[in-house]
Order: sequence, then structure tokens, then C-alpha cells
Amino acid sequence: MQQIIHTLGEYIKEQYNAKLDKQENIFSAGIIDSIGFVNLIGFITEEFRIELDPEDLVEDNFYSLERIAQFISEKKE
Amino acid sequence: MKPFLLQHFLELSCEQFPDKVAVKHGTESITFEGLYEKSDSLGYGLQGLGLSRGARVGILLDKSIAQVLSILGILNAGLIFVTINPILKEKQIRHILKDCGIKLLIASEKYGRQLENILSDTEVEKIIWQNELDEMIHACRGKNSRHTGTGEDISSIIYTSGSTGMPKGIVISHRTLIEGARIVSRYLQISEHERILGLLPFNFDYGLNQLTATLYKGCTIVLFQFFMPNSLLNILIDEKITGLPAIPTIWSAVFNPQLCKIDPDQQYPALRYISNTGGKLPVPIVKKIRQHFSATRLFLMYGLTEAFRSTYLDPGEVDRRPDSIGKAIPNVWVEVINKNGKICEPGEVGELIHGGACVTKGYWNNPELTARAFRPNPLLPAENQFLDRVVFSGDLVKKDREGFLYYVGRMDAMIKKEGYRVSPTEVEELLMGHHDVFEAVAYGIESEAAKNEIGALVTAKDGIDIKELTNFCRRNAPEYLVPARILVMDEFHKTETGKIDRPRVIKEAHEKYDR
Repeated sequence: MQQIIHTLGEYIKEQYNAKLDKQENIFSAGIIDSIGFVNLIGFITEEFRIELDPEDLVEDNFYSLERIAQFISEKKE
Repeated sequence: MKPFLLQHFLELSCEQFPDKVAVKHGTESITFEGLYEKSDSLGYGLQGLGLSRGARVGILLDKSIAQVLSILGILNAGLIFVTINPILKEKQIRHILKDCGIKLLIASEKYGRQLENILSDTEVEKIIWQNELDEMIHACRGKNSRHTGTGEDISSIIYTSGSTGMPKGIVISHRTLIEGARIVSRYLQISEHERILGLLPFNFDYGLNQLTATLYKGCTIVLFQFFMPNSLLNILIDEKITGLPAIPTIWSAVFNPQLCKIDPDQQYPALRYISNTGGKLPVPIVKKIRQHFSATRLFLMYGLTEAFRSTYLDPGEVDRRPDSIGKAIPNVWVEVINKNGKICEPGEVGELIHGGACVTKGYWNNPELTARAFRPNPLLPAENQFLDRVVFSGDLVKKDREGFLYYVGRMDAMIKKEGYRVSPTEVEELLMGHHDVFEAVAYGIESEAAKNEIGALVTAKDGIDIKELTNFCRRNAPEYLVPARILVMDEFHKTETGKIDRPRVIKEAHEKYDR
């Protein structure tokens, strides 16, 4: 979990020059817009080798780095 | 006499529907009376700050009720609002603050760190943070701003890309905002019962139009930040949305099976109309919208910020001519003219010009560019053309025998992407800001998926890491300026005058990489 959060945090830092706390709400942080989000999803599927179903793509699964990490772990099982 | 100022719309709707919800955002909402009283108090508070009349006030807030209150409070104080899209990066925000000399900024705390780096070389003297707005409103409760002005006063400056360099500020009067709200409400037949989805940003002319139409008709706007297409489809149902204004990017996400799961049997009984603007919707997407939202009327619209709104296609014509941008909106005329200033024959490609209502005042700080885009009416007798002012759009169009218009392309190299007009120069300057880039050429790539992408060619000083360069762009510019593909060239061919021969360079890149 911690490793995934770290990887995601690095991605945000590299792409957006910004730092997100692991529980901070990504949608209201004002760092990523909707196109950036599509890119983030692309990164997640490649980096963690998971396949996402369209029904996975709801804000509930992506609202914070911690939540994304949890979601990725669930998908990998 | 009222309404001649935009805030009069609110005043009149408040008399008629005081207890009705005007703006809803998530679980928060505000009635017309609440909006009227709070924006009046805020206006009074802002007047107390000693700004001169017509001073520009920046708003750097996410889409929210606070943002709507700020817009109206600024107008009540007799000031000009400049909405800054929070997706912009430091360079663009600094440019806007400096260009129109913003002294007062209303901003969200979360942009505080970003602003620290920006403010030093701007004229900003004071920031009101989002959480201080309520205090100001509370402290001024019951006070009236009593601003007097005229419909010709400037209400807002909207920043959009010009043909060269950084964004230009388009200056909009109260009259233009009022005309825009009335005209669009008329042909969309917006009534007090409407529940409009506020999906587009308010720094975009048509986005702002959803707010002005709401204030005008006394209906409800539901603010929504688009991230995931499934959530968009859900909110249409959950909030019983009746009007959905959108842009092509949104539709390409909705109809991308990897991004969105569409239930083919889903009905949208409340959804009365969908409108599209901010770029041409490809015919396959028009057909998908018609198929999935079969009971909903689809309005294909065209406009440029300089003339606010220009044309729309009657929904009854969409299935017959899905690639048309229609005809002029009420109280506006558009014509297609050739290089000699004469009206084009059917089928002949020419520049679209716009006259009548909705002509804005021009570009802030830029008389030369204003004189180029806002010109005397070429259709009047030569000696009297100065009496009327029309907008030369820079858009190439043609009309058919029945007078329906079709978008062909830009006269300049401007790229239309995701509802934004992107100037190649702005992208090139961005790329050349990287220490490994020697020269750069940016151009538009048309793709099937409703998205115009930016292509970029660079020559390197030494070696160059494309992935790093893309990340560099992303760190320094909003997503819509970031090229979808960057190709490295050995050198750029130059013209006799030593300029980069752009058409030839783009052609050579195409031959080198796409064969």
C-alpha cells in the first residue's frame, strides 16, 4: 500500500509539480483537470498492470491517493 | 428600464421567485433571495475597499456558489470581474493578472502557495480568501451596494488565445451579456422550470451564458465539475437535469467505451435539450448523441468570444445536415465574405463575419489587434462603413443554397482543442522554455475522436528526452496546451527571409514519421 501511494505521489509531483497528502481529495485539490485524470488512469493501468472496467471509473474509487492505492490492491487480488 | 445591468436579472428574478433555488452545488444551494441579498452585501463590502470604478477584480475559485456570489458582488460594486480558470499554471495566471492590472483578487486558499510565486511582479495589492467572503458578507448584512451604471459599462474581461502569444482579454459590456442571455434563452426556449447543468467554466463565454440565462429566467443551475463521464450521466438522472450544454471533449469521453459504460436502455425523461459548442462535433458523435438521447433536442452551436454567440442549427435539421453550424441566432446576422469584401456564392469558402447583437468591445490593452478583428461593416456603402462595427472571425466557412453554414477551418494557424483556441506560438514558446529545445513548430492534428490534438516538432540543441519534455510542458502549462505528440527533427527548413518554413517543415515531418 505505502509503495503504491509513494509511486502515485511521485507521478503527481513529476507531472504537476505539486504535492498531495495521501488523504487529500484529488478532485477538490485543483491540481488535475478532467484530461489530466484520463492520463492518470492510463498511468495506473500501465504501471500497476491492472485492467479497469468502465464501471470502476467513478470518483468513489479515485478521490485520494490512499483510496486509489486501496482500489489498485483490490483489483490486483 | 431594467434590466440594463446584468445584476438586474437577479433583482427581477428575486422579486418573482425569492424562495426558489438559483444555484445548487453538491449538497449546497442558494435561493434567488439569498443570492440577491448576499451579493448586495458583498458589493457593499467591496465598495469599501476604495477601488476606483471599473477596476478589475480577479476570481481564482473553483466552480462554486462562492464563485457565483463573487461575480455578482463585483458587478454590484461597479467593478469588472475577470474569472481565472484554476487549471491555468503560474505563467498564464501571472499574464492575466498583469495584463489587466488586477489589484484585488478573490482566491481559494488552496491556490495560496501557487500565488506566492506569482504576485511579486503583479499589481495585486489585496487578496480576499474564499473563507473571508462569508465574514465580509456577514459584516455588511442589510447594506445595499446601490451601484449606478449603464449597460455600456464593462462587466467582464474573458481571456482567450489570440493568434500570437499569450491570451488576449476580450472586453464584454453588460449589454452584451444581457443580449446573449436573452437570445440563447429564446432559441433554446429556456423557461423558469429549467434545471441547467453548469458543466462549462465561467471563463468561457458559453459557460457564463448558463449562469446569465439562469438569472434571467429564474430557473436553476446545478454546478458540476466534470471528471468521469459516468458521473455526468448519473447527475443527469439524479438532478433531473433539463438542459445539458457541453463541448466535443466531453462527448468523446462519454462515448469512449474504455472510459464510460453506457446503458443503452437508460432513459433521460427530464432532459429537454443538449447544446454543443466550442468546436465542431464530428458526425459519428452527433449520431451517437441522437441515438442515445433520442427524446432530447440537440442544438449545434457556433460562436467565438469576440462575438459571444453567432449561429445555431435548428434541432429539426440535425439529422439532415449533421455537419452544419446552422444559421445566425436571433438579432444577429452573419455573412461569408471573400477577400474582396464581397458576399460569397453558395459553396464558396470565405471568412465568417458577424454583425448585430453580441459584438463585444474589443481586446483589452490592444488597439491594433482590436482594429484587425473589429472592423467597419464591409456591406455598407463605402463612405458609410464606419457607422457599423462587425467581427471578422478568422474562421473559414461556406454556405449551401439554403443558407446553412458549414465550418471549414481557421484562416490562421490557430488550433481548436477542447473548446479552447490554442495559438501555436503559445505552445512553441512553452516548448522553447525547455533548455534542450532549439526551435519548435506546433500545429493542429485532426482526429476522428472529436478531439483536435496538438502536434509539435522540435530541433534540439543537443540530445532531447521527449518524455521529459512532455512532463515539462505539463508542469508549466494547462493540459490543453500540452502537445499529444512531439517529434524531433534534425533541422527546420527556412524561407528566404530566414523564417521557419512551417508548411514545408510539417510536410517533411509527416513524410519522415508517417510512412
